[in-house]
Amino acid sequence: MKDYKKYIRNFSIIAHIDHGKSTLADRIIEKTGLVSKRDMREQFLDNMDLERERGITIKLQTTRLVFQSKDGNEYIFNLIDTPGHVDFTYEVSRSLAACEGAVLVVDATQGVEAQTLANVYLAMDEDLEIMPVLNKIDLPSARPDEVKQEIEDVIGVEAMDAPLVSAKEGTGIEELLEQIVEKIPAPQGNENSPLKALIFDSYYDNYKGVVIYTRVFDGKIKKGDMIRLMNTGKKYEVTEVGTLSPGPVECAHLMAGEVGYVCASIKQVADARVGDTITLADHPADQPLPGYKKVQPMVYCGIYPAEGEKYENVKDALEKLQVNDAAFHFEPETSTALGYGFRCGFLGLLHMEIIVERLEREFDLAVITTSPSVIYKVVMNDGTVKMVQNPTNLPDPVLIDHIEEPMVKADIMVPKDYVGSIMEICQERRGRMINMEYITENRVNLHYDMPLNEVIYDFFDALKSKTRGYGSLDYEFSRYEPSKVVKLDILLNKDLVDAFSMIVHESKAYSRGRFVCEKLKEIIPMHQFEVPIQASIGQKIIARETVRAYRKDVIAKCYGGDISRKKKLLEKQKEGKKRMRQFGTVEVPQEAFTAVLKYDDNK
Amino acid sequence: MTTNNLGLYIHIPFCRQKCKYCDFLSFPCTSEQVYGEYVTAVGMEMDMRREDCAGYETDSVFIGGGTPSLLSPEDLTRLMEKVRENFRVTDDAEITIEANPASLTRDKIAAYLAAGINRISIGIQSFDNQVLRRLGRLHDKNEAFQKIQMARKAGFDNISIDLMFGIPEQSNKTWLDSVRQGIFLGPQHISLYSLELEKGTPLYREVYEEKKFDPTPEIIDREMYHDAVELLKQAGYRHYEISNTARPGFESRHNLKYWSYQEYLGVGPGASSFFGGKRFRNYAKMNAYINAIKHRTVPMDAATIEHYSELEEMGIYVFTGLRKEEGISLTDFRQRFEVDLFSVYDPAILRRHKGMINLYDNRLYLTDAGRDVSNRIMAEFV
Repeated sequence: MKDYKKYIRNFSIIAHIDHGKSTLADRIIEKTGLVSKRDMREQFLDNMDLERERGITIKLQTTRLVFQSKDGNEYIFNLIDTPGHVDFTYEVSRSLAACEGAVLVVDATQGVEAQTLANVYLAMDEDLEIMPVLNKIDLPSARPDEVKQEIEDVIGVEAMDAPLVSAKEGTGIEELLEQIVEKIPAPQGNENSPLKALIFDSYYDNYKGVVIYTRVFDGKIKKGDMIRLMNTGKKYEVTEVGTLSPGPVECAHLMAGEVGYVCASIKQVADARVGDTITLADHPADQPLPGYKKVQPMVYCGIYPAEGEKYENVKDALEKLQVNDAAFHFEPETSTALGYGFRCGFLGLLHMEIIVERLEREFDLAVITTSPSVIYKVVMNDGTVKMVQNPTNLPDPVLIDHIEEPMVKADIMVPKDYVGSIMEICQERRGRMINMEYITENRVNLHYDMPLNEVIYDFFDALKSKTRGYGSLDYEFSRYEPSKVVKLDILLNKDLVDAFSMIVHESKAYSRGRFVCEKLKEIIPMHQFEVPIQASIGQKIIARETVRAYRKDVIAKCYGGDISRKKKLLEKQKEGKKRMRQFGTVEVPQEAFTAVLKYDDNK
Repeated sequence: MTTNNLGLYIHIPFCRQKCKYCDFLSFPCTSEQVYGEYVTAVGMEMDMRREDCAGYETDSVFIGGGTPSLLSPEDLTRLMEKVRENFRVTDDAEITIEANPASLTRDKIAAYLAAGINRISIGIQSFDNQVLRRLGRLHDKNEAFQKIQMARKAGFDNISIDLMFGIPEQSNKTWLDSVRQGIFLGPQHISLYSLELEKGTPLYREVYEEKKFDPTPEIIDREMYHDAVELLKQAGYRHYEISNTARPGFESRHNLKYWSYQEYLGVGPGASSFFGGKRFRNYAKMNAYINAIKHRTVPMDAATIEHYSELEEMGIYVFTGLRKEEGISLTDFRQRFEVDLFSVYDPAILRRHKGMINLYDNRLYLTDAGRDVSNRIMAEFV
């Protein structure tokens, strides 16, 4: 028992999207015999349908594995999976903090990418041992030697004896597992010191309340303990502890170095925040573990029930999602155009897309989302500061001294042939280049200072489109900076539709106004009257389009009594109408809201 | 056993050549032998329907096409014999044949009258030669005049003509001239069809792909329609249905069956039926049709019978009824479906389409403005 820590390895797998992290995790699980191949679904750790479909990991899953090493000992592997996207950096950093090492998966055909780097830096910040592994070695275009050199040059970790694996075909996994035993350090810590356990994830269970995923650094936790969460200060009684296989398996206690779960009748995920430290209420640690931060939403948008959808249903669904997602915020708001709905805050655009998609898919709801917005710092003439995330709430310009917008530091990694087009799209989006470095002969890392506002709009789509999918992006908030932004309104048939309002930079207002008007003209069907579509800044109309009126919608002939044919025609027409939203006298198809946000290659 | 009334539709799916705007079911064919064989086949189909229709009295027969006037007097006579052999045709039945001026002859007209056909519908389309050429019609203005006179002199006292508007580059003036000429000739019934350019037709290609002609703007199309209706009303025609006008008492019984929720049986390829509470359609392909007849089976796929719910049938009742000037009677609706119309449909429809649909004297009907956009209103009921 004394030496139990020697046989534990806590590690994460970090990788760029598509580099095969989840498939590799599957193979590791399979090899260690946790699940038989027969019972395995593809990509075991990605348990949301959405994750499976998009091939990305959003929510962490953690698994305890038993590995029989060639050295004759049995090892406990705690594999802590991390989400792979730029929006979830903080979650990544906390799960990394629960580990001693990180297995860095690099696609042997693609090499190092922006997110690989971002995640490696996160792992280095946590002082983890980084163990590179080359995946997709089965592909003919794999160039392992070059990529190994790239890893050493760019990341600066030893890579020459990195295992060569094909997660798809299951080759090289044995070697990888042995290297984990060999290279990743066993956990330290003292089981007799006061309890210090890191919360690195949590989810809500209908029966148990919040289930906390934790890594114990010091001390011991068991059922019946009174615990205190050191940052929120709240106290709870532990009702259950156990390990994750990956389903919960109850055990007597968790001790220093171990990873598992804790239940303590906690009602909301937000009460057990990722990054917080668990200690014992009557025998507390003096210092919490470092690195706690309350994550703040960076992007906001309105979510409204679509025509025919019930407000209550949307509210229930949002509440359910929030219980499980501390980073997601919402509060009720009303729009003149869309009625009752919610203002929702997200970590980033992907986070927003995922929430909206989950509402539609898991909850089967029809919702309308309004243009995403960042949070502007509005400094009033009297010196007071207002944070505005809904364009409608922007105060009267005469009362405003100036407005500041959030800036981010963006790292864009592309093959060198695309540098020109990237510089162009960054410049169009008010980006300022800080510097540019060659990672290898062919790959470049561009560092930009950019307004978040421009990043969330269509930057990612533009990047992917201009680089044929080879470009990758990582960004983090840097600061607020004074900026000349204005509120752009859209009027349909002279009525302002607040749901289309957006805050844009002065220099972009005209082109955005024109773009939105043109898009809406394509989308809004003909009415019995002419529908003017106008874009305005205050009283000034800066763009206009007109949807002409239809005069005729009638079938003259009778198709020789083929009533079914006529019925189908009318049904189609009715179906089209259902997806419309009435604004004053104008009917607008729901897709108008997303269409005005789409990146347009021909623009 | 009570007897029901039935409308019988007989499709003659041949034309000498297809008109440039036509997407109806017809095949170009000039062989008298094929016509004869076809009449035999359709006769066999009627034999097969004899028992099903035993409980019905047939009070309208409509021989449509295609071009029924292509049939020889002998074939036509044979066809009508088959009708009377298999269906109980009432003494006062409306029996219509469609005719193209180009193939209509004195002999054929005589044969029609002898076979008991008492209504002739002549596809005139226009009295403007330029327009007729653009449509790819086989006749000219003079022939149209002649054949209408010929039918009347031979003894037809119920003549209908079709006129078409919204033809590319047709002006409102030339259109109204055609309407005036039609009125001058004094047929009992005049149909007005707004040209629909259907994908796949030569005229559609000429307009939208080759850009040889400009399409008629919707606003002009509507002007043509309303002006023509106005002229016809002044001349004593009743605008009894969206596309049809008639002197009082000459409204087409057969046509009204489609819009009045009455039963009809269609024979021939592609023909539609509402019969015995079911809606179905015959095979549209000639091969499949002939094959089925050869095997003495009904020429349709039972799997394609539409099974509409009660609610869907209500919708059909309403949207077909709204094509008529008189609209639908709330009392009839209630009698038929045993429920009030406005407990099924949202009365707010009236408000949403104010000025387009009216409720007066227990009748729901479209206004003149409402007829222009009838699809939008009808869509509320499906």
